[in-house]
Amino acid sequence: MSNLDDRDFGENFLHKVKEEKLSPKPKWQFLFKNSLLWGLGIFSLILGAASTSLVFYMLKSEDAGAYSRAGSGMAETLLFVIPFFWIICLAIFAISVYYYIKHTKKGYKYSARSIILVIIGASLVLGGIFNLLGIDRFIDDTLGERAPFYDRVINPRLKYWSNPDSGRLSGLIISEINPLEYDLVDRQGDDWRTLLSPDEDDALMVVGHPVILVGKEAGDHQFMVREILPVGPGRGFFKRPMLRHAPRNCDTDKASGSCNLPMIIPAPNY
Amino acid sequence: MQEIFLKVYLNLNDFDKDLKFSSWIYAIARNQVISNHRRLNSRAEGHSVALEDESAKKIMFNFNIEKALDNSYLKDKVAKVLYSLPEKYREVLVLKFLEEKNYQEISDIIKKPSGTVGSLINKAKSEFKKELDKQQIKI
Repeated sequence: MSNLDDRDFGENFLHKVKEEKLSPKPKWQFLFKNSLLWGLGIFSLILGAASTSLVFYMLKSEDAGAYSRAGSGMAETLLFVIPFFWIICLAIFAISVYYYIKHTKKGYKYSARSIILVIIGASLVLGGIFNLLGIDRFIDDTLGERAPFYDRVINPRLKYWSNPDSGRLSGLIISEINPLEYDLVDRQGDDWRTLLSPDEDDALMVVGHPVILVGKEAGDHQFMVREILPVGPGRGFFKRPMLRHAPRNCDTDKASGSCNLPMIIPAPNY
Repeated sequence: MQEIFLKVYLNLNDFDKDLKFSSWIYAIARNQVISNHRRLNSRAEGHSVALEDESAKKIMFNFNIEKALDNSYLKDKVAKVLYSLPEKYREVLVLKFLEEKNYQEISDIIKKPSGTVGSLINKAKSEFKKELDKQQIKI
């Protein structure tokens, strides 16, 4: 550009600024945007750490041997033992953290490798702390109690352990008939009479508590127990009102058509 | 050009004093050019690289090619090779050898970590040499 062009350009520019009353954007807008990105990054990191702690929780409380004892092969065992839902959540939150940090004002200065290493390290450390504080258990119990599709998507193990035809039954103990017979309600709300052998350790058969049973179906809604396992992740699912407040023992009232005296099982204190 | 100056003016409060002012303006200009290209849906490769004789010499000097050459011949060949390189390589070569920016400034302009800038420049130099061979340009 010649000097004349430069002058014209400058004058045109100043004219436009004056005519449109333009002024520099205030500093707080830039600070707010940058802080928001950091905030979202940290929030995603915390969610990622929570997902990590849930991966730990799901893996730690899993008895992989129980799957083979229940008749499952290696592939099926891995399918249910590996907590895919939380691993996918962890990946999504880790990608979010990366995205937000990269879009902060100085985010471009950090290499992808260093950001990824920090995300992995922070997720492991924070996830470990959450695990020690029991936050993972609290999240799982809360989701178990309230989240839709919990037993299909978040923790499909519940669905796996609810297949009486294949010798797997899980549910809430609702009453003790005698030391060898207990009534149980499964995750779909069906009642079962469970039959224990005299040499079976029944310490886990506590009214109001959920259990996983390995054995075989023995007649109409009767289940012969071979092994009793505790319910770790997913125990919150059995606190759902639909299981605890379902109408039961209504045979005598059926003639009158009324069955409005639900049997309420007290929720256990986990 | 006016759009770039307007952006600079409107974003003055976003200037980071840790950066060189020239790098900051360069980055804004670069982003504006990229977004204009995208808006017009035109290919970034569609513009030519104008080289001064001294710039061509600088590039060849940096490639350790020691041969006395006629400046206009050199300029045409270097421009031709630069023009045929992918945008990401051409950009760093231009910034490094024509604009004489250091790694940190290039990093601030193209918004990539300094280490990545170094790798890009090395890769760009090697691509430049390959392209010289491919186009059978004897220097």
